[in-house]
Parts: sequence; C-alpha cells; structure tokens
Amino acid sequence: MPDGRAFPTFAAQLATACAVCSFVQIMGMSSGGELGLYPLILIPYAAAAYGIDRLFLRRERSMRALALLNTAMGLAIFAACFALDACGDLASTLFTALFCLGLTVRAASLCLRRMELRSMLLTMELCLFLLVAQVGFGAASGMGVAAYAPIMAGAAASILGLVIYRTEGSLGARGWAFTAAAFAGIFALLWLLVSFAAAPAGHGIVAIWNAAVAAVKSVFSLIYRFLAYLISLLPEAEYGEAEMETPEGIVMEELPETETSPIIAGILLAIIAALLIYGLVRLLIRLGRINIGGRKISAHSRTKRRRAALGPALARLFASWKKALRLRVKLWQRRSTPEGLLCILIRKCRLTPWHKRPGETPRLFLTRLADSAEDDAELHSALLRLIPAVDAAVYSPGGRGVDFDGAAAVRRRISSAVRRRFARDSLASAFAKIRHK
Amino acid sequence: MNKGRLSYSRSSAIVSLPVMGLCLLLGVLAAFFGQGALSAALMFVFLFALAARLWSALAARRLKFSIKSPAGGVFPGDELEFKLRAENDKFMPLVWLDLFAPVPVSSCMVPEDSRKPEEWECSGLEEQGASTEIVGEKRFSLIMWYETVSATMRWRAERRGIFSMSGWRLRTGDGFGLEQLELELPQSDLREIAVYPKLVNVIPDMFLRNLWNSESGSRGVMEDPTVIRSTRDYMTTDSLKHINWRLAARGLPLAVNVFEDILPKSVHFIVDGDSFAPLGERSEELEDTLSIIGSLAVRLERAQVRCGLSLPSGKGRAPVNIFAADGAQTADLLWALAAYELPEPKLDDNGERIFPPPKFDEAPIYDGVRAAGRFYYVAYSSASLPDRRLLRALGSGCTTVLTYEEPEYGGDFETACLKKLREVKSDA
Repeated sequence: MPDGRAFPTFAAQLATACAVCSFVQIMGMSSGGELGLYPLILIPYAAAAYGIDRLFLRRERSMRALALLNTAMGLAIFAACFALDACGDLASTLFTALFCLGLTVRAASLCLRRMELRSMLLTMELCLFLLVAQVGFGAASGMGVAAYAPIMAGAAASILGLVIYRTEGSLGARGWAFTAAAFAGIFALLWLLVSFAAAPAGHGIVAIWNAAVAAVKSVFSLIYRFLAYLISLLPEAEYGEAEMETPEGIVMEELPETETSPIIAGILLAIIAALLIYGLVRLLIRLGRINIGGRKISAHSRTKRRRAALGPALARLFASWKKALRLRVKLWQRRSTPEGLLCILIRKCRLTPWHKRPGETPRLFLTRLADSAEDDAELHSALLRLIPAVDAAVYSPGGRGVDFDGAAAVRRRISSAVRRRFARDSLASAFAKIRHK
Repeated sequence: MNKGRLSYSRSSAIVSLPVMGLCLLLGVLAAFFGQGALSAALMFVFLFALAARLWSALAARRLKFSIKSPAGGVFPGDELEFKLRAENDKFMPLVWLDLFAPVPVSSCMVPEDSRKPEEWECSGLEEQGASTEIVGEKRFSLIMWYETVSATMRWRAERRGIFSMSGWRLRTGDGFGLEQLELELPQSDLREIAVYPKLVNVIPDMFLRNLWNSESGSRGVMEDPTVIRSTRDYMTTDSLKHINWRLAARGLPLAVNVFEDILPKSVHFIVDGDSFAPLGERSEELEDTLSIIGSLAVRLERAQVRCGLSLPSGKGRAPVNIFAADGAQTADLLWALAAYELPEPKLDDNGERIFPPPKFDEAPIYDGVRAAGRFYYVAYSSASLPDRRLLRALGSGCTTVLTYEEPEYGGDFETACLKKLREVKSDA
C-alpha cells in the first residue's frame, strides 16, 4: 500500500470479516443448523491474512509470489472450515469457499492499493445494517446476546477505522477523549430513550431512578469501606498494645460503630480525588504520545498552534453568551422600533433564501422582502411602510426610538410568509425538474 | 463561512434524512411491539447519525480561515509558500479540517503535500477542469476551543501557465467521520498566480539598434544620458549624478548637465501562436518561443526599451493587445504570455484537423502603428506567412518577421531566426 493508512485498512478488513461472520450466522439460523466455531474463525483469519500480506510485501515481490501465498492461505482456511464441519452440503461448501476466497482477495488487494473513503463508509454502513438485521432476526428467533458480539465488534472496528481515516491518526489524547465522550453521550441518550420508549408509562423513570440510587449507594459504600480500612490501619495512641483489626474482620453491620473523624475522612477523600485526577492527567499525557495508524507527522512540521487554556476559553464562552443574551434583551426592548424590527427581520431570514446579502442596504433588503411577501397584502404594505421608517431611523439622528405601528403584524407574519414562499418555490423547482426529465 | 456546492462532498448514507427517519420510525415501532433489543439497535443508528449531523453543523460555525499568497507571478522552478490560518472561534473543538486544493490540468504548479484523488472526487475535478492525477491537501487535526492554527503550504512552479485558486475548498465534519461539509473560502483570498515562461539568456542586439536611431516624441519622454544638450546652474534639488564634474574641476561654479529628451522606439511583438498549432498543444517549440520573447522583454526593459505584445485568441481567452505607449509593464507581458494557450483544435467535415489563421484584435494594432515602434511578427516558420492578413496590412516598412525555424521565404520583409537569439550553453 503506498501510504501509511494501515490501521483504518486493517479495521475495515476486520469489519468485513465480522460482517461475513454475521451473515453466515443469519443464514445458519434461518436454516436451523448449528454453526459452532466456523464463522468465528474467519475473523482472526481475515486479520492474519492482511498482516501476513503486509509483512510479505515489505520487500519487493512478484505478483505470482503474492498470488501463491494467498492461494495457500485461502486453501488453508478452507481446509480449516471443512474440518469444522462448515461444508455440510453443496450450497454451504460453495458459500464457504466464496467467503474464504473473498476475504483472501480483499486482504491482498488492500495491501496493494490505498483504501478509499467510499470503501470505509460502505463497510461501516454494511456493518450497521447487519447489526440491525441480526438483532431483528435474533429477536424473532430467540438468539442469545453473545451471538451479536461479532457484528458489534465489526461495527465498532469500522467506526474506529473511519475516525482514524478522517483524522489520519493524528487525533491525540484530547481528540480521542472528545470522541469517546461523544460516544458515551450517545449511549447514555440511547439508554434513556430505550428505557422510556420500551417501558410502559412511568416505568422508565422508576427504572432510571432505581439504577441511579443503586449506583450512588454502591459508590458511597465503596468509599466508606475504603476509608474504614485506612482508619483501621492507624495505631490507637491510648491503647498502644491493642491489636489492629484485620480488614477481613470488618463487617458491614459493625461499620457504623467505628469511630471516624469527619475531618480525616474529608482529607483522605480529597487526597484520593487529587491522586485520581493526577493519575488520569498523566494517563492522558502518556496516551497523547501514542499515535495509532495514519501517516507519521514529519519532524519539520510547519504548523504553529496558539491555544487558549480551559479557564480563559470558558470565560470567553460565558462572555459570548452574556453578549448574546444582552443583545436579545436589547432587541426585545426595541422590537417595535423600525431599527429593532429590521434587526429582527434580518435574524429571522438568516437561514432562508431571503437572507440579507453582503453589502445590501436596509432599503434594498426590505424591498426584496416586500416583493417576496406580496401574497400577504397586509404584510406587504407593512413592509413598504417600514422602508421610510427604517431610513429615518438609520440615517437621521432624531428618527430612532419611535415605535412603528405595524411592528407586531410584521413580526407575527414574516416567518409564515417566508415558509410559505419557500415551500412553494421548492415544490415549483421539484415539478420543473420532473417535467424537465 | 459559506457552505459551498457539495460537488465533492462525500458523506455516509446513514446521515441522510430518509435513512434517519426510517431508523427512528422502525425503532419506535420496535419499542411499541416490545422488541427492546431491536429498538436499541435502530435507535443507536439514529442517534449516531443525528449526533454526526449536529456535530458537523456545529463544526462549521464560527470558523475563520485565511490564505495569504504571494503577489504577482513566479518563474518555473520557484517555490511558493501559502500561509494558512485557521481560527476556531467557538468553544466546541473542531476534530478535522482539510484544505482541498485542486491542481490545474497543466500542472503549472504542484503542491508539496499531495495525494492521488479518490474516484468520487474525479468527476468534480473534471467538471472544474482540474487534474485528476494529483490534488493538494493540507490537514489540520483537532483545533481546540478558540485555538488558532497557522501552517504553510508549499507549491512548486513547474511550467508556464495560470494557477487559479478558485477551486480551493475547506472540508470539515463530525468527529466520527460520517458527514463531510464543504465550505467556500473568502473570495478575497482566492487569487490567480502566473507561472511566467522560463527565462533564458538571449541576445537583444537586433532590438537595441532602434534606440540609437532615437527621435523625440510627445509621450514616454526620457533623458538620454549620452547626449548633453546644455548645462545650467546647480540647484539643491538636482541629483549629484547630473553635476558636470569637469566644469567643477576647473573651479567654475557647480553646474548640472541637461540631457537630450528622447522617445526610444519601442518594440512590439505579435505572436502568431496558431502557426505552432500543427505541432500539437504545448509543443516544445511554442514553449521555447514564449520563453525567448519573455526573456527579451525582461532584457529590453533593463536596456530601457519598452515592449508591447499582441496575442491572438487562445483557449478560453480573448485576443490580447498590450502597448508600450500605454505604460504597460513587463509583468503584464509576462502574464499574457503565461496565460496563452492554443485554441481548441477544429475539425473539418472529414474529421481532419484544420488550422485557421489567428484571430487578433487588429483595430488597436492598426491604430497604434505610430506609437508602437517596430513590429516583430513571430511565427513558427515562413510557410504559414502568406495568408496572414495582419502581416500584409502592416507592411514590410515597420515589421520584421521572426520565425522559430530558419526563415526560408520572407518576401519584402526583413527576417530573422528567433532560435538564434537564444544564447546556447548558458541558459538562465
């Protein structure tokens, strides 16, 4: 392969093997046969075939040598499948041969040419489709959760491969942490959604509450046990010869009787928390030095970065929110004045085809808007009346702060007018396209 | 930044609205019928796609990107450095950002960071008239909150042509890699850069003789430092270079020389590019001819001889007339030479290639006969000259014919071989 996109390619190969495995499982379930280890063996084989091919091609080889190597590997895996009773009848023999051949050829071709984005996307889409299909099929036929493991692994591998492909493996610890957080968010949301959607009314909330309470209780219990253990290690000054209690001797029921100072517990808790944070930071820094796959960054990288620390970044974020909020309040206060109404119109039309164009004067913008809203006579006339009022407010010093009498109507009707016009234009263009075809 | 045409965009089908809608619908139905696992799988796909869409939409917001490119043109072999600056002016980090830079078909400039375009990109590149063999790319990964990243992108000028940045795009998307957005770059940053013809060592003697026969005129007047008309008393504003030191040496008061005002006869090249058409597009002979003319223009500028240029219409370009009397700079000439390409080949009814005469914008040339000085009509060989209307109209009095090949027939015209104006063994 000409470049260093080895890891995404490997992930894609693994995901393909997982998809094949899942496909065989679905086929096997539909025919009611026992599959055993046969489809699973294709997964390590696909990974190994790719690895062997890459190692083989580290030196210059002839195409014949590569073909012979892959033929040998293909025959070996076919023989292994045969030994695992994969070839019961002619059809299953044929399919097994096809799968072995396909994975072998794909491994070889991936070593020869660069993996393209389209292939990565197709592999991921295929894996997700098979995941849904297998789960659906499994739900109907009572399949165990363990059976979904290969296709789940395949989907995960394909997604991971795609992430590395897009970022060329130079994501770093922060990037990975961010992506992992996004995934965690998705799974959390998924859990919430499924709990709510799948459970009868009210049951989902009870389940979430119970789970949350159980989690908090278990965390506190663990901390308490740990602190109690640490305190038990301290020698008691008053009773110098007293024997230390062994950790095994601690029983949950006896714990409340242990005398613990809340200050010591707090200090210890703070120390543990600080150590945990320190360890996590160290781990992230270490992880940041490990690059997975992708092209190696050249030593003379000419990229310069000017980063903002988290504190100032948060301050800027809050400042921008504050500014936006202040702007909204100001806009609300002046919603009935011509200049305020102009700003509201600009904001409302921002994401529509009637957005204010760069360099367009207020008069031109309002005229265009009035033309667009000519179906609504009241709005049209109000917009036409607004034009001189805006001119006066914007260009003459004394024209500001005077309420425009049709402001409420303009605010109320502009959104629906824009939506109506947009829908009509979209339909007209769609019909025109159909007619043109 | 504006979202551009999604001609090159490649996103997963999962993030398309129909697939997302179907997943949501089936997920809700599965949940309604008590299929928890299936519902979870479908919801996962839906949420995954939704997160990707939202993420990519947010990624493109408040992103500032600027390119600083060097002004003017370059010569083949020169290296250009584009200064890139990406600013993520929001709290949400940007996981990946690509600058996609198509390379012109002529490959007049080639990027240092390049790759072979993927299949799905080729149709868009062909549509744009860019190369499908190579494409420039610069990747920025993980731009954190309010972070500014500066980088450089090196390009190397390979051959004559006009390099346009009009097809440059920014690509970004979600961290999962499912959706890709294309953003247009600010128009002010997108420029055209000319790769001028290669400069070679030339012998300009045959053009300089006109300076010796100089005559005064009304426009473009200059002082001839070789002809002293008189002297006058020195004033504090005078240049020291003009002091007559001989008079000063005799103990006389300081005096300055007053030189003769002259209008040097300028040189105007008329390049009959179509006479090179039978040799094929971008033939070595045409390139060599343009190199020699460009080099002559540079050399004559140093000798204070003004040059003009006329080119016939070429591929996608109108005829060009640049007159020295209008104050044209050598850079303008070099730009016109860099941009010239032979017109599209034409076929007759039998499918044979025909070579029509060149299409010049003739009227300004006739109007500028007096101011333009002497014309030099440049063609490949004298074989194509008899049917050239412009040459006949200008007449032999003010026109010299320069042919790339050794001239065989020139009629009344003074002829010279262009190739021989090039100094062999000592190319620039």
